[in-house]
Amino acid sequence: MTWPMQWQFGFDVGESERIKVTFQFTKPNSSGENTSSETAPTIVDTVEAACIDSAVNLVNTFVSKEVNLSHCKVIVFSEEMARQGISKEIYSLMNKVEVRPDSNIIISTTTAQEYIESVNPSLENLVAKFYEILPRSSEYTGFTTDIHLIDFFNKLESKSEEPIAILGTPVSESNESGGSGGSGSSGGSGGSGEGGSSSSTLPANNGIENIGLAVFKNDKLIGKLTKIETLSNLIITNKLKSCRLSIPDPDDQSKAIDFYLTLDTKPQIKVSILNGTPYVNIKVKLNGRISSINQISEEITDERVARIENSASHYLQTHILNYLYKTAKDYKSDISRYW
Amino acid sequence: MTNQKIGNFEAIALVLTVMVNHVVLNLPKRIISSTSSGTIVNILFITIVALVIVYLICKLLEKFPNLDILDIANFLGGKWLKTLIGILFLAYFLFTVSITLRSFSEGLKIIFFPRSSVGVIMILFLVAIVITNKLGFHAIVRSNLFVMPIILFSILFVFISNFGNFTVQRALPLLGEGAYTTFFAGTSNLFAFSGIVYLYFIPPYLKNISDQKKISLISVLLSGICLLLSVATLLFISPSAITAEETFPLYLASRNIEFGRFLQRLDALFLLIWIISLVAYLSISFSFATKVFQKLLNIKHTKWYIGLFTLFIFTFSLIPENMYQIIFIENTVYQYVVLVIVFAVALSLLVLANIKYNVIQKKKGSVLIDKAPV
Amino acid sequence: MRFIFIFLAYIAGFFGLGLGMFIYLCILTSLKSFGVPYMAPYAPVTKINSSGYFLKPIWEREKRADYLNTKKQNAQEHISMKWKYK
Repeated sequence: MTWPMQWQFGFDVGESERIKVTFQFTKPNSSGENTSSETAPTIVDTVEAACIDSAVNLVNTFVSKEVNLSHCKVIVFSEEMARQGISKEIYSLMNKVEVRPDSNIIISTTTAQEYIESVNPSLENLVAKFYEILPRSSEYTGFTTDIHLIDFFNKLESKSEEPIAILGTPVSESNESGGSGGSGSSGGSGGSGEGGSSSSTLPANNGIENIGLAVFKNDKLIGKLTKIETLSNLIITNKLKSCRLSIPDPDDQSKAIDFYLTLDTKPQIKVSILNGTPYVNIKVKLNGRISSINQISEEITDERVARIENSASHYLQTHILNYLYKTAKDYKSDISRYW
Repeated sequence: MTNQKIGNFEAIALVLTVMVNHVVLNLPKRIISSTSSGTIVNILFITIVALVIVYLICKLLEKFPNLDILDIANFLGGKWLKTLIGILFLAYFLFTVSITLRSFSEGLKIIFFPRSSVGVIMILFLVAIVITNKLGFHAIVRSNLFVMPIILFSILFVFISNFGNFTVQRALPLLGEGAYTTFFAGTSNLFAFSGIVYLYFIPPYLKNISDQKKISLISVLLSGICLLLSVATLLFISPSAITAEETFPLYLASRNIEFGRFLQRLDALFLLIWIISLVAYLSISFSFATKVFQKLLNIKHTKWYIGLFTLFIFTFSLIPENMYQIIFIENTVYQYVVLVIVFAVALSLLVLANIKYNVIQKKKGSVLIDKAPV
Repeated sequence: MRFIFIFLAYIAGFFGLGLGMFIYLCILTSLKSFGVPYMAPYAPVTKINSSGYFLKPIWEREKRADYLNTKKQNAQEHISMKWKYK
């Protein structure tokens, strides 16, 4: 009898075996009883095995119902494991007919077990529903993207682009390091804009946050992208639907102007070869609506709007260039897909 | 009941059912692996070639209205040629039923019944085939007419739903591995239009024989469109995922279909539709096999040897020992069998029969052809 | 009838249901009711003259149903409400 409850699983580097697999199941018969304020309890089990099939086999020995991979929503890899290479696991998963190709791939900055155990959705009863809805938030935040197993696999196999995955962090870890998806950036909100900082202002018991992207070179994790770099990636690859962005006020650097950004048209990308090296020319048209500014609208003159436009363009241009140089020079990983 | 004729739509659905069922199996993957990104151009080319061949067949059959290929063989070479051709086509139908049955059953076993024996799955199929054949040829043909629009819509739906996942650049370079591979070596992909074999047998059953050309051309055109849609779906989504998996590439494509959070996991529905379509196809092929046998031996009632044929098909489909052998038979052996029997032998027969007809007409002025009762 | 489908679903799940549905469809298409195929006018495909789901007004129903294979196709004249035009 297969278990119809939805679940997710994560991979870590094993201590006694090759991998450590953590399974999270929703407890059956609990989703109907709970009120809307309570989350259905989940069961988290961890086993060590040589491969996925062995791990599922082991779990089946102490779980009364047979585990079926077709109900899996999220597959989590730890950062340590991702740095060693995850192609074996990806190929194993793609080879199974029951694994759904639209399962999300998440790279956790801590262990996958810690990530899964930290999940504590406040607005949903079922953890599976939370996992289903959360990656879709990329449509209106712009700080992550909805990467599926099939997308990761295609990019892994492709000769023209490298794979990326969602970067996830348990909130307790992000509060300690002062930022998620970044590297040693200082916290701060509002006035300084969202340059390199990526502060987490979430309450400590809210579980996890998916901010940023994990960049791969073939099957090994090579680096991470911050919020603004992720936004740059979404803009370049024409995946940005909308987002809210805070940019420093050109007339008063201590204040910020909030924009609601949407991508007007597909970015025009022209690649030419100059002196043996590719020269990429990208033209991006963004539509920004000022959602908050410390001035009433009658006082905003045309010159002020022009200054704000220029400042915003320069701000985004700087960050997009930084992102492109970072991926090209530092990571040497083509994730921007210039075609 | 035995004198009832089939209409135009039923005849078109009959020819189309072959293409639709092979599209669900490994046909698109086979074509993509032979011509890579030049597949789109290749399919357009072979559709045009198939239309020309079908037009030629209709022209050749004009002199023999309401006669099938066995009667024409009888006219050309007497009883011995009729028997030979009959045995050839009988073996062809039984071969296609066996191998298609085994291939689909293996796929079903991998997806739905990993712990069941493949023989059990095949037995269930064969029981359904026996029951439908006992109900009669016309019952199967009319049921097929019901099922066909649903299947065509499902293939179109898979194409449209996966539009967001398409990378049109995968069709480049347009000629794939070169013009030679796309146009000359790729002509062997004509085996995809194996539904043409039914055109040799349906003339005695048609209501209006004058519509034969229309039926043939429309059915081949629709087959080409169906093949193009399915190949385009698979080519544009993810060639690597397709080549990695040996079972039902179109089913894998349907697993990507997702409309928000409401319409998800539609692959089970598609598999249900395709199972029904496969039973229809196997029943029709089986029915033609029994009709050929009936005609060869002048037997009045078919129902007593349906069970014997079923046993024969079951035995033959158990011969391949593993998946590799099944794929080899389905991809390589089947291709040459279709090209030789459906195209080379049948066309040659028709051409020679036409020549003989013209010679006799010149000598005697009129030609009398024996027609065996349907 | 439903027990047969329940039994088929128990044996073979979706697969059994698919087989059962096709066999049932074949049974329906093989039936005849007073000489008329049960699934007419859909199988065999015949012209829907004055029968079918969407009906014309009574005074416009000129032709008889094709699947009846009647001797006379026309049930009434082109202008049936002669009193209207007098």
